Amino acid sequence: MSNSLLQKVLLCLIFILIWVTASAQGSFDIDAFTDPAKYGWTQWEDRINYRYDLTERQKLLQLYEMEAQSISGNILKSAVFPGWGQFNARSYTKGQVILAVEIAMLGSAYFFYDRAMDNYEKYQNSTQIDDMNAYYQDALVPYQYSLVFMTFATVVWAYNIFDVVQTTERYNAEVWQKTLRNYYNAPVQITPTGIQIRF
Amino acid sequence: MLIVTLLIIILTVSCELKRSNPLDPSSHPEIEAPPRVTGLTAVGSGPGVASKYVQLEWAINNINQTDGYYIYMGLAYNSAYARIDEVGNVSTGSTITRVIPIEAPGFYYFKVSAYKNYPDGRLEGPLSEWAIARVDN
Repeated sequence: MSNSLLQKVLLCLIFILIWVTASAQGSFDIDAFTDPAKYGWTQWEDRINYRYDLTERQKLLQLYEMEAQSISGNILKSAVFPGWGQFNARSYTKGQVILAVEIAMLGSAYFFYDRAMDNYEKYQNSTQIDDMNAYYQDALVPYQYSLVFMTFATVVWAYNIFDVVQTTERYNAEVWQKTLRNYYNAPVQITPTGIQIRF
Repeated sequence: MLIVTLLIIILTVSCELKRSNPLDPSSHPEIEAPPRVTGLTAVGSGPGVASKYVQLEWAINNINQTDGYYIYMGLAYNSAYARIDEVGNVSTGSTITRVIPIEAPGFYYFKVSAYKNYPDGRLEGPLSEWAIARVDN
């Protein structure tokens, strides 16, 4: 490719760039952008008040975030140790109930499984037909009980995961309400009009 | 709740323990348990006999289904029975007779079972009905 052709292509590209930039600026409506009425501000004080309210909310958000809990964190805790997320979200009774039920279910499942395996081992070692059938039946019944308890334990575990999401959301909502309450009921407040002291 | 119940039922029914005993006829069609021994009788030695004994007799099983017999003894019909003797197969006659030496006079209960040998071990069939013998002093 010759140098003259390259220069022509380059010039065309620059021209296109300038044209696109100029046309984009032409379509931008500066009046609409700076119109305060679109935010509902009819007076200058409205804008001042809005900015004050925004600043206040940002302050409250920082306070809220200090106490709010992560839902994913609580899900992880409850997945590892059922009830932990509920404990963390200050739902102690619910956490205790879930933990107790889970331990009871898993304990029962283990108890019956252990008994089933004990009889199953005897079945595997037996050489007499009556003993063989009796030990197998003695192993089968507790084995089925252990499966039932294991299923219930899984259901409780799944409910625990479902519940910790709701519990954490409720806790965070309470934290927000508490933050608002504490802030607006504080005896000393700094407002745009001055310092406000409540007795 | 319905889903949970269905899940539990499906799990319970589908997850059975495997009958993995190599001598179990339920999971191994080639294995056949020996039939129950029938016609068991027990007669104790009479009074004044120095060497006390009990004579047992039972009907012989089909020779293709049985390789031998175990003899059990107990002190009550519903007590635990201990295996005291073993008898090899007999191909002649219709009954088997066995004499069991006894040390003390009294009532004794007996049961007999048949067994068959397989490559994975010996499978013992069901125990017979009990038979009682009185051994006099």
